[in-house]
Amino acid sequence: MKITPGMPDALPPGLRNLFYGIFCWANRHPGALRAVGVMLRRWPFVAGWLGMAARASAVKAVLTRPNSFSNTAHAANLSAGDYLIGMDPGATYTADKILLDDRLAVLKATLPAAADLAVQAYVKALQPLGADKSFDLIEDYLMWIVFRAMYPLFGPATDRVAAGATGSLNDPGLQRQYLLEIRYVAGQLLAGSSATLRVQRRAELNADALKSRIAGVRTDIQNAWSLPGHNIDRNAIGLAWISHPVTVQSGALAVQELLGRPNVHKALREEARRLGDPGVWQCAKFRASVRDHVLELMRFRPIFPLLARDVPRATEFETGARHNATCPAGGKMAIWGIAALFDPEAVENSRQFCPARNWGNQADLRWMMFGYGTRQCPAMVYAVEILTSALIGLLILPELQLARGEGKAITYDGPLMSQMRVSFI
Amino acid sequence: MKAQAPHLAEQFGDIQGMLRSGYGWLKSSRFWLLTIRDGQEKAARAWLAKLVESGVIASANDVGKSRAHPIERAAAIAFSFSGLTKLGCMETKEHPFPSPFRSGMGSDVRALLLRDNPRKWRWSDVDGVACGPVHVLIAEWTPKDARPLVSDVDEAVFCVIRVENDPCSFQKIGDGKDERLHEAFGFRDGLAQPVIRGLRQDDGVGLSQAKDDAGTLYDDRVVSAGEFILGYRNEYDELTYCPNVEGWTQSGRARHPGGRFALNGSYLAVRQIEQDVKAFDAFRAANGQGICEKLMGRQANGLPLGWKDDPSKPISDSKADAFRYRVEDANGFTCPKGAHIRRVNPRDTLGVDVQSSIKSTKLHRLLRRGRPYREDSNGETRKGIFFIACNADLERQFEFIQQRWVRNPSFVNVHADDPIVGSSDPKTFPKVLSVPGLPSGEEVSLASFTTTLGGGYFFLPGIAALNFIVGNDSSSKSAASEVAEAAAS
Amino acid sequence: MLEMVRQQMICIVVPGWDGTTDLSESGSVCTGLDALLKDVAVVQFASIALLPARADAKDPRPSLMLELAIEEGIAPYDIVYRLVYHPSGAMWSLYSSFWPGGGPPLQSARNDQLQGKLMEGLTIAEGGFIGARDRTARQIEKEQDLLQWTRDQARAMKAAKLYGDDRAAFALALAQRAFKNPRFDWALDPAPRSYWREKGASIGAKIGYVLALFVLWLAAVWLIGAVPRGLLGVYTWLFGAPYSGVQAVVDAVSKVSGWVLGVSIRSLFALLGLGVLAVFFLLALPAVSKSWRRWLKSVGRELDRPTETWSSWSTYWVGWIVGVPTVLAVVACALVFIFCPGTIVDAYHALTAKFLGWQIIAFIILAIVALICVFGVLSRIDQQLAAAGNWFFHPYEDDVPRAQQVDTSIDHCEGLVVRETAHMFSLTDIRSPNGWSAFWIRASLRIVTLFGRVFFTEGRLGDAPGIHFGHWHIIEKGRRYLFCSNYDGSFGGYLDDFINGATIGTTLAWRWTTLKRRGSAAIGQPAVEEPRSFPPTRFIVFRGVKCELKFKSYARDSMLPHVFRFDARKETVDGINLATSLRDALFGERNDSNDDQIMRAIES
Repeated sequence: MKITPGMPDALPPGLRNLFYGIFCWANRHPGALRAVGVMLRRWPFVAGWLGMAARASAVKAVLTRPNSFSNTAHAANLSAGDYLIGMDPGATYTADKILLDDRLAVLKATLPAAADLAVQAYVKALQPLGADKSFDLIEDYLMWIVFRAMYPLFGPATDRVAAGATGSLNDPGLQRQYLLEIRYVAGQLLAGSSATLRVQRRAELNADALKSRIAGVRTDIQNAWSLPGHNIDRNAIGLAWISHPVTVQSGALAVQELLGRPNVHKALREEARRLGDPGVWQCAKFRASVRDHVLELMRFRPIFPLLARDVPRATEFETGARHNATCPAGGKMAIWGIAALFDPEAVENSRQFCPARNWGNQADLRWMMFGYGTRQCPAMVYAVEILTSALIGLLILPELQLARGEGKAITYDGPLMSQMRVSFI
Repeated sequence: MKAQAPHLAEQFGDIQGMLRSGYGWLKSSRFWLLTIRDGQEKAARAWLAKLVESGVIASANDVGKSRAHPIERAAAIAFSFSGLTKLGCMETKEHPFPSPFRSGMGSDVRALLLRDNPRKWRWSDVDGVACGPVHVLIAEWTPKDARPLVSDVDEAVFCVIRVENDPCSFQKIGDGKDERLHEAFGFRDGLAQPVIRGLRQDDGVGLSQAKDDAGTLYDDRVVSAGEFILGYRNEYDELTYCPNVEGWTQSGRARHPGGRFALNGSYLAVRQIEQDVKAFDAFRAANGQGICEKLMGRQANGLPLGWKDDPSKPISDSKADAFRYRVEDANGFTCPKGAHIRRVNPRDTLGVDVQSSIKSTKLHRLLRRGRPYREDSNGETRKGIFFIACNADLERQFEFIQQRWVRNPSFVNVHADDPIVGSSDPKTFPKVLSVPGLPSGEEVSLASFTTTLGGGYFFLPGIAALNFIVGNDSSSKSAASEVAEAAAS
Repeated sequence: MLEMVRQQMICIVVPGWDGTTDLSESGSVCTGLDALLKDVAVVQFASIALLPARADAKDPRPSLMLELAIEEGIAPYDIVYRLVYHPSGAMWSLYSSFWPGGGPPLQSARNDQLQGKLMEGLTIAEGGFIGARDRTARQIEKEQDLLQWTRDQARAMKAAKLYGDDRAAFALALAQRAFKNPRFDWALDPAPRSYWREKGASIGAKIGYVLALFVLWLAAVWLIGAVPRGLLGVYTWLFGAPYSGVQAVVDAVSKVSGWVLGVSIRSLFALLGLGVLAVFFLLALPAVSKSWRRWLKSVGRELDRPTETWSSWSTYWVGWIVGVPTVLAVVACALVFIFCPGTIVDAYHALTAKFLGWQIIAFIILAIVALICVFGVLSRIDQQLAAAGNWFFHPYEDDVPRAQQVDTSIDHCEGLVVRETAHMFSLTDIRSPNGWSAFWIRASLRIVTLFGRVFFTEGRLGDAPGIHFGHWHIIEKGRRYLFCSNYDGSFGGYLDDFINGATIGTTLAWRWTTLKRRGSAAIGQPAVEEPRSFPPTRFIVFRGVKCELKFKSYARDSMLPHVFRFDARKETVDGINLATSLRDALFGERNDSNDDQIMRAIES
């Protein structure tokens, strides 16, 4: 029995397309969201009326009150079924959290070496590509690097998971199919119920496929994790769809931002050129600087600029205005993470691109794009680590630019980037 | 423009009488199912020719001649497809017989389509246990205690199955004078017949009287002639399709210039249905007559279940049949939606409104000419009904009713088979009837009350066509010479 | 909106089937497909048929046609992807014979090629109708489970005689039991339905939607003109007149915007006017005047009359002589009003200049009197003829050869599914010129689809009940026309419903087709030995399917048997609706209507 029966479209024709169009446009243009964020921060009572938290203090306060502002707002978006990010604290949540932390801990030992190794292999493959040939940064680079770097998550079962229970392990097409499958499922988390029916149903189809895939290789995963237990399916499914696509998408967003900042790009490349090929991998200072860059780039283009929370019982929150904003029970509220990341009250010179910024007592805000408080992504450090390696790889390759003359370089699939064609200068 | 279609009124002489009347005054009936033995085709034709020649085959003209002195005997002859083939009638390429008739009721595909699996039939128009396929059906109606009309069937020529009359089938109702037809479970039968437009039936009641009794609902039962007689306008206002056979057009026998072989004919859907009277009586004893009437959908004396006047006061059949369901009884509180008579003729139950329901129900009416029968064997008496339904489009009429209404468990969402003729196959549905409107939807379990013993599709030809089949040619050849010829060969 | 419906019904036609794959019911290909479709869970219905090649086709081999009816919102690419890339490989085993060498060795490469081939042969429906299957198969399954459970509970409760005489108490007890059962937690939410079947079901919502669109359109057109004008004004006020070219462009834009606004508003008025005329002549006048009612009815009947009679023939010609010019004149007036309203004003001025007011009024009265007289005479003649004209109404023979013939394979297919949802394929040829016919078919089918989506939301198309899916495809580059449908009941009954319940739509959907000679796709499958044409129509929408014998023979001859069939649910449309209403009644508020609904669901 599948968990989510597809819903018919309950909105008047055209309306959903309109909403979704606006939503996608806003996601692709974080500048516009930031501009709205400025207004919401300046007049917090407006944000309060609309049930939105925009100031850094307000956002943090909301996200640290998990009982008042429930995570179940995401449950509706989880086409692949129940998972940690759509759960409220409880026995299941705790057990799953422990299980997942254990799984993620494996990465501590392998990263960043594994990521570096993967990047080096792809750098070598891309090196001979001339200036006239473009490649897809997502499908030809990030997707595979993240896949390899995250290999230990399923350990020896990874290949089986990617190939499916019956597929051949040496079929790269099947692996690609798997990676697309989890991307569509993850896309649903971002787009949620605002998405058009087609996008929702596609996520559902892929979620179905993912579920039967995991069910088919359950024993392999069980052996790899050396766990008994009935929670294998739920956590394996969740781990599969959230870890990889979100990291890849964040990486693509970071590179997009970087390409829009030629000076920053140039400076980084200069530094990489100075260190030379083996040097870039060994110099800890350089790595730290690149990591700071990745985080700063993601601040400008966070993958989840807005978050939603359910309000299970009537409450209120401090917006920063004179009066608190009331939240009626049964409603939802929106959290403007992107506005908080640019709140001048918390972040000095917030509008400036400054990777080496001293965050002072707001260091926790720096990771806001990964959520906050108890709802923060448990794998964020590893994701940033992988992306750091990927970025270093790009820095030692010839200089990149968005590909020209082939139509649009970036193709979007809803709010997500599905293709980012780049070429060397 | 092309040639004009025949006028029904001018063709009465060519239409067999049973299409005009059920011969209610002839209280005895017999049915003969004949299989022509191989190699005996000529002899069979000769015998049939003699029978036709003897004048027992009544035409619609004969039936309507006089109401005061109705005919005293009548017979009808019909042929299955295999019978027609056996007798040398080959359908033409341009106007073949309809597929249901050609494949025959006994065929496997019809068993599926008519939802009567599993079948344990003794006879059919396709095969048979004792004789093989039935080729010819002869029906005869005589006064009570009269001698059979058909008596000299040569067993060497035909393999015969004879279905005998049930002498108890005509009974008086209350203190009434007239005896009326009752089926074996004790219910009035033969009410609710369609009235053929342009062919007034003779059932002993004057037309104006019948119209007055039924009031505005009289039109509900008036159905175009083409629904029962081939070649005339049907409810779609179209001329019913007439098949043709080789040699017919050249023979020049057509009563109507250019008329095809099947003009003035009709198809008969025939079933021999045995009724388990003991089981029904046991059920009646356990649940009472009221529930039995709910199953049937009518009172035993023929009155509608929702009859509000004094039930002891005798009323005409026309009046007893003048009712609808939709307004008075939409939810089946009076007559359950799954009751037998509501399934076979839902009147205005289906469709979006009364008018369209009546209109669409008229596309699926049957002219019933069956009679109860009795069989005594091994000291045991078995009763049942020899069901005959005349219709012009087997697929749209008989098969539709059987498949979509009577035997359809999803009929108006009742989730049950027909309470009377449905099977009790536990694999399909539990045989129950819940009586709507009773407190918590009282439910009764039913036994299997009927078994079908055999069935077939027959073609009832017009009289000219009948003469053509049997090789009679009253203008040029005499029957005697034909017989002599047959004997000589 | 229409595409959402259309892409729920897909046909994939792949030519060049060589028949080497075993498609028998118990064969591995069919069982594999069945398992695949069950697993995917969003396919409501699927079937396979072999389409015989056209007589003039180069390749005499048949095409393999896969029909899919899927749930709402899924794009055809996505479902084909899901099926093709499913690990079971069932789709490959079905289509592998199209790669005689066995195809590429890698599974993913095979899948890619298969996906490409299928997308090439895929058509979404040109038009379609969905009855009660707007619900997902899973919803139907769950609700049937609830219905069955409720019936079983009710049976047990009746046996225990717990709730004697009170229907309300009985219903309440059932609702409580259902509520307590954790199996039915899902039913607490009201049954999900699409917009037009739920929130937009009221006529107010529909009119509101159209009006909102119209107002938005007006606003957009106005803004296009007003914004540049305003900006230019502000600029002129601040900095003086700009460059003359700019002024000219802004003037032109603003003029066009004004013209479009005027045309749009006058179009609305013209439509309203035509609507008023239609209501007056087709609804109001018949309600008031008996003779008008009879006259209108008899005209309709004669135009629709399937047999040739003098009455229908003469009505048809009077229609040409009187009806068509009148309609054209009214349309011309409307167009003049929309595009050159000045002409009408001028004409009015010219009239008032020539005649005085009383003269004009007298003229109008005279005209009305004359019209009434003409109609009076016509109606008198009509009545007289109805009474006397036996010959006038008597039909002429019209030969319909080979009527009421059903191929054995079709009969067999129908027999096998008599307890389930019936299913039919009809393959016909599009009349030449193909492009012209295809255009009109498409236009008609879009209208049918729109009506089916927006108005006929209760599982009935017109008055035709019991349709699960019905969809039409134009295939082979506009050469042929495919209709697939599943429905409750028998073929004949289904067509009867179409003839009586959805006459115009059905006639429109088929009137541009014909049936040409063709061979059979395989041994035991039907061929078309003699060509047949769709019954003749009058004024596009009359007659046509009303010729039952011709239409049914036409449809029967065009039919093809299925070689594989998958149906996610076997319930009838009524059964599906019943289960949904039971769900809403059991878990809704306790009132008489809900109680009755529950009791009805458990009665037989």
